[in-house]
Amino acid sequence: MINVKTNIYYEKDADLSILKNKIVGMIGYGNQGRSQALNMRDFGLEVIVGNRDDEYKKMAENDGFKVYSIEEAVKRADMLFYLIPDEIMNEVFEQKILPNLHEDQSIIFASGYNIAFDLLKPPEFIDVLLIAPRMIGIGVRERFLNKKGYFSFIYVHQNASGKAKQNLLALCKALGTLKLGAIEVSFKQEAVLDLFTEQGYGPAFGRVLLETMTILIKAGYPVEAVLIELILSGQLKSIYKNITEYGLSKYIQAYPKRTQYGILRNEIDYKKVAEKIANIQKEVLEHIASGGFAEEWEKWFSKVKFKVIKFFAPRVGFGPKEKKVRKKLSLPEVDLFAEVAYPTEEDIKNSEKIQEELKDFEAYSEY
Amino acid sequence: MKTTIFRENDADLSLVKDKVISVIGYGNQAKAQALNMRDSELEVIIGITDEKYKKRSERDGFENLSIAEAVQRGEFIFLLLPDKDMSESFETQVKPHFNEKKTLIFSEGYYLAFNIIEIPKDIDVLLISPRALGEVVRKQFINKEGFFTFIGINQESSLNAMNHLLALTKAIGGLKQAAIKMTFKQQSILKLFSEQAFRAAFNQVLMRSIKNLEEAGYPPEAIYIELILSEEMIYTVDKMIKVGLIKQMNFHSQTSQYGSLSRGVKYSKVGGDIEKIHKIFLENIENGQFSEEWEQYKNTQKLDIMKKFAFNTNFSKLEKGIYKNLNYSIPEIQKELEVSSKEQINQNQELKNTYETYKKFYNQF
Repeated sequence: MINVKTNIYYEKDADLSILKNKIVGMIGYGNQGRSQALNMRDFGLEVIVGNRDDEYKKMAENDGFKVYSIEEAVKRADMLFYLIPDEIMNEVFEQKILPNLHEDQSIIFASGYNIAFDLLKPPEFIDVLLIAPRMIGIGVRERFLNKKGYFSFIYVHQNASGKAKQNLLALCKALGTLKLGAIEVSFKQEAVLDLFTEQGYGPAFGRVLLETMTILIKAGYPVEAVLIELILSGQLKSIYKNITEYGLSKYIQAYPKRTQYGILRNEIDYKKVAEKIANIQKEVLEHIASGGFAEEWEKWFSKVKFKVIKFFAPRVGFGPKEKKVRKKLSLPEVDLFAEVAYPTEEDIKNSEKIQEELKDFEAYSEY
Repeated sequence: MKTTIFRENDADLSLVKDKVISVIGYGNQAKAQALNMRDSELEVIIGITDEKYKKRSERDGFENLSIAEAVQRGEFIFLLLPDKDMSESFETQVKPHFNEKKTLIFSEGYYLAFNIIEIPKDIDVLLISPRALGEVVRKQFINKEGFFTFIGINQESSLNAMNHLLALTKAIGGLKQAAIKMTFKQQSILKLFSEQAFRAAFNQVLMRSIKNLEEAGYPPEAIYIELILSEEMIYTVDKMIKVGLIKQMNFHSQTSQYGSLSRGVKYSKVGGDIEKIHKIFLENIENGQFSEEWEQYKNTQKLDIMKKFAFNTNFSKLEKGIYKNLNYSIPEIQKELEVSSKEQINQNQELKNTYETYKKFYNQF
């Protein structure tokens, strides 16, 4: 039950005038960096980008931003958004950021990890803030443009200026997140929630999915059909959509009665397994919260272990089977790191036209 | 066993061009399939009695007939009725009007796989089961992306059943991506098993994950945003579809990948337990026990009793509070459930057992 009241902030809680004449420096221009920079610029803030000389720099320039070296951007900006991968964050901080920091600056993290587990120690004379959008980069931009907003986890970790909270909320407003709501969640809480999703929930979910497919394949059902039924059909996606819309405890109402009966009839039989899974999750959660995981991941042998597991993952078990099936179904091999393109005006128009026709599907049942 | 896969060049649309296609029902699947076939230049009429759905098909410009008339007029009859109406409508409005020249098409193997309805042997009976929601069947047809379809023949008396099956599937848009050949029974079992085994386990896993975090003191709203409302899982599933289960991991940070992969091993401990339960579920479905059970209880209060407890747990109250705090409104699909008094329930042993068992089970959440 809810004991502690959760603090949630909306647009009315923010005053943008506090950011007048301030320069926002975006360090890193990946999917999150790009979307956030564009949103803040559209809101009227002055945004510059600090990035090394690579593809992302070109993209930022194409988007019309002034791009500086990271060192130079740190010197020039008042509000520093530090949006580079967790794994290289500390090194870049020591070398390029720390030597150039001065008073009256704020540094904003989108991930709590390094601060939460004391892997990165900012100096005391700056403000340290968290703005972690709970939405992928492209969604951060799309939901700014269509004014829907998105959730974020936000926090003041260090308040040297005395105005950290006001600055935090003003930046959130410019990012477009206060439209839906920003939740006060500490760096540690953000990091643990994130890690638990990856380590406690994800693998348990994956195990259930894998066991479901394995038994069907063992029983002689065509592998292609099994993969289609469970994944390629988009069934899982629509389950998640229904859970989001109706809540986990009642979403099964969105399905025919026979389906509802089948689910409730069997849920009870998973009681013991679910308890076992919950116990494993508890261990995983405690290990994360105690800092044990962060410590483990910092050690050199974990990096080696990671390489070994990554090497074998696609080569044993379900991996090779999946590859064959996808080939047989003529599903294309996708370039993983191809640039994510925002939809063009024409794309949006076309999809609106289709969306118009599809509206009629909302108020009727499947059969 | 080799899987048979069909694509567009396997079908000849001209075989069904001058024939009348009757679509019975006008829910989302029927609407999508009817519109797609009409756009493929086939002659489509609708058989429908429900007023709301009749208006809908009128709006889309179709000729509306009673079910009986549509069965009389059509040569290919798509039976796309809701589960609750299927058996009765079939006996009273469909069966009396068909003859050996007509072909029946089901989108669910269930009714024939488990002998819920019986069909005379002298007609063709086909399965065309798009593995996508009606909305997606229509959308992917318009933007030419296609979708996967399971197709099959339950019985054939004409020599053209296979050719007809492929032509109709093509007209719906079901060959654009690929159609997999299957028996009615296979399609039905796959569907039932993935609903009953996967979703039942999945619900439990997700709920336990939420409860674990909540008990450890994390803000409930933040937990819901992290696990559900951020839509991150929808994004991940989308990537699973686009690049594959294994490869999609690469979209996550190295810390995330190491965490999932190294911890994933811990969960292999429960693999054997899940397998044992799954084996029983699958057997229950395959040997017809499940469908028998459902047909026996579908008109009783059994499901309502189960839902009464499943939907009124402490967990569901917590969830309701979270949605409210986040200004998210939950649409009510179903009105408050009304089940009979305890005395009435006690008169039936099965319902009494259900009541006690489910009350106890859901009390712990």
